Amino acid sequence: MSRLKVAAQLGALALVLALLGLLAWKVVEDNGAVARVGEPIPSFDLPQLDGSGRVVVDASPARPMVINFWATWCGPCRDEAPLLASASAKYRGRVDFVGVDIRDFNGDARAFARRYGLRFPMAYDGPGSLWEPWGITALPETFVIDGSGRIVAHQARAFADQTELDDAIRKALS
Amino acid sequence: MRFAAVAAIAATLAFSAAPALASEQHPTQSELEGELICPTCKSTLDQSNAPVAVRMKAFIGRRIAAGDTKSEIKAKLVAQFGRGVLAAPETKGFDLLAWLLPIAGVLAGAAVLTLLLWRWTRRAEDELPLLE
Repeated sequence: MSRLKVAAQLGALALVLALLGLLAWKVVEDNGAVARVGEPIPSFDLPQLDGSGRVVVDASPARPMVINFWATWCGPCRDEAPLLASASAKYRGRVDFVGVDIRDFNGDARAFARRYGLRFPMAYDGPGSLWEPWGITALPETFVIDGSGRIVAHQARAFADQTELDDAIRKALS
Repeated sequence: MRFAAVAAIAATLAFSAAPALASEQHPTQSELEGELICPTCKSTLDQSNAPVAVRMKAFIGRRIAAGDTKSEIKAKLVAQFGRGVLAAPETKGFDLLAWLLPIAGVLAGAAVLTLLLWRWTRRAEDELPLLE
């Protein structure tokens, strides 16, 4: 009987340790990198929207970068898309543009990108794996990153016009 | 007698399996909306009017009209949005643990309770005064 008692106590101890481990894991997960102005960007590696390869963004970009999170079901994303299309052409060779279609149907998103002439690399994140690491609250959201990989501007709504977008990009170029 | 029992069990199984099979082959919009989660608001689709939920409902309607089974529709949505769109965990792979662990917990609790009751009753019997 005493052997049974010891086994039960060991089992209870193991259960408590397992629950503590789960709690520690959850705390570490929740304290993961969140994209903020002044902080380095959280890296990611996602499939391209057209399925042709991967879009890899790491903490040391080759040049300043604009990362735009969007989805086809987001009305303001439709208003903003022409601005991004023209800005990506205007800053070609000086600023890299990357789009992230998030929590969306990829077929709808491919049609959207074609319709608005979005010719820059477009990542697909249907499950929304970047939503929490990047601290996304609503769409569209845009991050402007300088050449050292630090976020210099964060827009948590659509850019109203080209001037507002230019002002944000200028922070990365200065 | 034995034949009657076997026939009764078979009939019960058949009656309980038939609705499940019909639901799998010909799912309804409302049952699928109750079994899938809106990825932005985290409530089931039938409780959500978020733009992405509205898109998902329209997709479900189109797939039902096209004759897809419930599993096929769910698989297509999981391929787009990940397994987080399923309101209940799957009954295979790692997700099976979510179904088995509560049962294991109840069984373990029952075993501990049985053991304790057995010990208490034994102790009570041992403590009874001997009558001449």
